[in-house]
Amino acid sequence: MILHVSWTISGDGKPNPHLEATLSEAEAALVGRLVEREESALLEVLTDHQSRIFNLALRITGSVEDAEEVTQDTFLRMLDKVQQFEGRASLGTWLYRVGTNQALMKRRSTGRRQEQSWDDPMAAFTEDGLHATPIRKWRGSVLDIQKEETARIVRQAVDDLPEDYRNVIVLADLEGRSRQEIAEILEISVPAVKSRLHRARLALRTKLAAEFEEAKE
Amino acid sequence: MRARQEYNTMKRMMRRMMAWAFGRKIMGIQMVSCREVSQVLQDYLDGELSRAERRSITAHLALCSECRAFLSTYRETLSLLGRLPSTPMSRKFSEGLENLLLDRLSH
Repeated sequence: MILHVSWTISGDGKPNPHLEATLSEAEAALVGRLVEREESALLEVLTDHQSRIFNLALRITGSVEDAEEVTQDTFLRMLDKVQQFEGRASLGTWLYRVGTNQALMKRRSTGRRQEQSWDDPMAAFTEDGLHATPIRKWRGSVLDIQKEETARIVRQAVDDLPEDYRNVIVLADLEGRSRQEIAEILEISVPAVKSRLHRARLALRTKLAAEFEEAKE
Repeated sequence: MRARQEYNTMKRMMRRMMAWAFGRKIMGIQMVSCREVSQVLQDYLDGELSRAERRSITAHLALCSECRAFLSTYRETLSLLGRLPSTPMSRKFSEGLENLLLDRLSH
């Protein structure tokens, strides 16, 4: 995986002058304090970013244990590399990309899930191009995502998606990243992101329909 | 019972009429199939279709209750994903991480 933030050795532990041109003054100062190994700076970064990195990792890996490991590795990497931070992206963006790549690698390396077979969403039509099976609306009562049962069903459906589909759904629809950013992270073209995302959404809609559709009349 | 039979007959007739119309131009509008509608739903919602394509989809949706339900549940899928709550980190892990990093910082 390529990280689209570059690093250079800055030497004396002071913020690279380049930081001040690209980062906000407050963030450049924060990075400078991290380079100086100030505890308060580390605690500030943890407060601001640890929950986000953990949730990102959890959504990609589907495992609390793996997400904790990814979160830990991401912040350890930050401490190891902070002296080389050049600041072409914000610290939050850099952490996010490292976390994403670590989580993707973790998911691939564990390979603990047997991926379910998914029907091609485009196969659900007759030769004439009509829907092959009736399409029903969903029960309004189950659509409150604050209900634990609904959230559990949605999380499980995302986790069961094939890897290619799951990654784009997590990054685009759960994490709100742009198509361009996803293309860079996954090293695929923007049109490929769009096409994969649409197929993933169709597959997920079909999966959720089995849980949420109104009963047959 | 009779009303249900009549409803089902009408529905079958409507499906046949729609299948006939797919691929034809009616009143200047290119009629598209349910499959074609589902292929471009994302672009339709993102406003990335041409005016003519948009008219085709809108005309289809006006006639096809199944595609209206499909669009509504596709939107609902996106809405559920966008509102999925975060999972809180365990206090034990959070404290352990903080201690590990503070320890690393001082070495």
